[in-house]
This record gives sequence, structure tokens and C-alpha cells, in this order.
Amino acid sequence: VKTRVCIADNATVFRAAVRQVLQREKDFEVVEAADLAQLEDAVARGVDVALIDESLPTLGALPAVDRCAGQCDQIIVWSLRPERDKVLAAIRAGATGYLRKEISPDGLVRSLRGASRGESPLSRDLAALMIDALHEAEDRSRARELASILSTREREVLDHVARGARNKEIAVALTISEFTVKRHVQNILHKLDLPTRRAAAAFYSSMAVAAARSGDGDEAAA
Amino acid sequence: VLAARTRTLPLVAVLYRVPLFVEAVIAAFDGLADIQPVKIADGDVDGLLAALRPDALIIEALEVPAAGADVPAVHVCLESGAVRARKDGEWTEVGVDLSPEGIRNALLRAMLRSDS
Repeated sequence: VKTRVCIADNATVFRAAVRQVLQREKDFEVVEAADLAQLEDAVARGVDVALIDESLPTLGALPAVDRCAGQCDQIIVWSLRPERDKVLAAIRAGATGYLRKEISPDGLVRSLRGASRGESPLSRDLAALMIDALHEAEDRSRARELASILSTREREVLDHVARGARNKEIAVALTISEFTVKRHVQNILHKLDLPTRRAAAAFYSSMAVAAARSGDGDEAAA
Repeated sequence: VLAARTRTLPLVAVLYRVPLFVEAVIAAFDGLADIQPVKIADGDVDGLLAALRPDALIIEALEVPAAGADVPAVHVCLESGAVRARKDGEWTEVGVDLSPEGIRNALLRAMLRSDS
């Protein structure tokens, strides 16, 4: 049984290259699509693996991945210059793999063969990027969990601590006594199991960075 | 290299970063030219070109190498989809799509112009 691959790419040179490479193999059949409409048409007629250009006209790969989801066994996006956010967005949208167009012909055949067996093809560097993204998600989750045990006032105090403010300055800013600030700081350190206010400041910064990376803005750090 | 020099078909060197690009180009030139792929990352491209002495160049790269400036050439930018041909040392964008045949025809035109 042949694996039916649809190469969806606006650049004829890439469609021709994939056809050229796969027609040498006995276990592949190739159909081509130059845009989303042609891809939808091909998928409706039956495709096992869709190989979709990141910039497929007219809306890019994400709508294409969405349209193929549930209809193709494997959806692989590829591009010349994979960008972190676009790779992650494609995987989140339902793509099962992501490849660099600089892949060798043999590498492409191996990847597509693996995909037809249910594997998720990812270039080595993109796999590392995925692992980083998973770690960041864990960090964000932990930061949110810890932040949720602080009271609103404690988070306000922590915000000032992270900016390097002294207790006296925090007291003035929040119109509370210096003694109360000191008690809030002790509670923060206790709840977060942190040894010093410098460590608390670092924790708060990491929360802010994690929130920015996740696109949550100030939500996690608020 | 010596074998290539004794052939009747012109020798076209393809400087490339993307191996699949070469796959497409080789098929388009079948029976028309001998293709010699030269991977740009493999070091001394200028030296390789000096040894090969190709009749024409296809350059799939961001930058055009200094060597081979005296032969007809087509420069392909896969990122932008632009195809340029060199005539009298000047690069001019040619209105072809990013297809193997479009690239082949642009190069053949550049080779004919340099002969005339």
C-alpha cells in the first residue's frame, strides 16, 4: 500500500523536488497543491501525509493544518527558517511534525516514512526547542501555583521588593507601616520557601518572564 | 572535472544551501546540461569554481560568491522567491516563477545573451 503524500507549497521548485525525490521510492504517491484551496481538494480525495509550507497561500500553515486535522493521518509543516513561535503554534494547531526545508532528500524520505508509521518528524534543533517550551510551561505552571498562595497585598509587596525597594519605601508606597511590610516579607519568604528577599525578587522576575513568554502579560505576575 | 570538460553538454554549477533545490534543478536540465552541485557550506567555493570552470552558474544562496563572475549566472532567493540573471556584471530581476523550468529558461537566456 502506498503512502499518499500531498506537498502543499506555493513554490513550484519545492513541489517538483518532493515529487522528484518520492517518485524514486516505491512506497509513495505524490499529489501537489499550490494553495489552501488545492490542499483542501486533495485532502477531500484522500491524503495520508500532508507536507505544508509555513507560508502556504493565502493564510499560512495554521488554517491549512486546521482544515487537514482529522482528515490526514499526519500533518507536517516545513519552512526555510523555522521560527520558535511559529513552530510551537503549528504543533499546538495540530501539526504532527515540523521540518526544515534544508533537509536532505534521504532525510525527507525517512521523515515521511516515519510519519506514515505514526512517528512525529522533528528536526533535532526543533525537538530541542519543543523540550525548552515544555520546561517553560512547567516553570509557568509552578510560578502560577506558588503565586496563587500569596495574598493580593503580599503580591503588591513582592512587586516592590523585586524592584529593589526598601521596607520604608514600600511602606510609604502602600500607606502601611514599616512593621507590616516586614511581616508581609516574612510571610512571602515562608510561603514561597525562599531564604532571602533577593531570592524572592528573582522568583518574581522569573514569574514575569514566564508570563511574558506565555503571552499572558501581567496576569501571572499580578 | 576533466570528464566534464570533454563533454558536449555545457557544465552548470549549482551553488546551493538547500539540497532539495538541486533535486528539482537536475531534473529540469536533464539532457540539456551537466549539473555539478556545490554545497556552499563545504568550504572553498571560489577554489572549487576555479577548478570546475563551469559554463554557467545557478546560485541558491543569500550572497553571490566572488568567483565565477565571468560566466552567465542566475541567482535564486528561495526566501523571497526572486530570480535574477547576471548580464555584463549587472544583476537584473527576471519575471519567472520559482519553478525549475523558470530557472532553467532564465539561465539559458543568460547564456544565449552572453554568446551574442
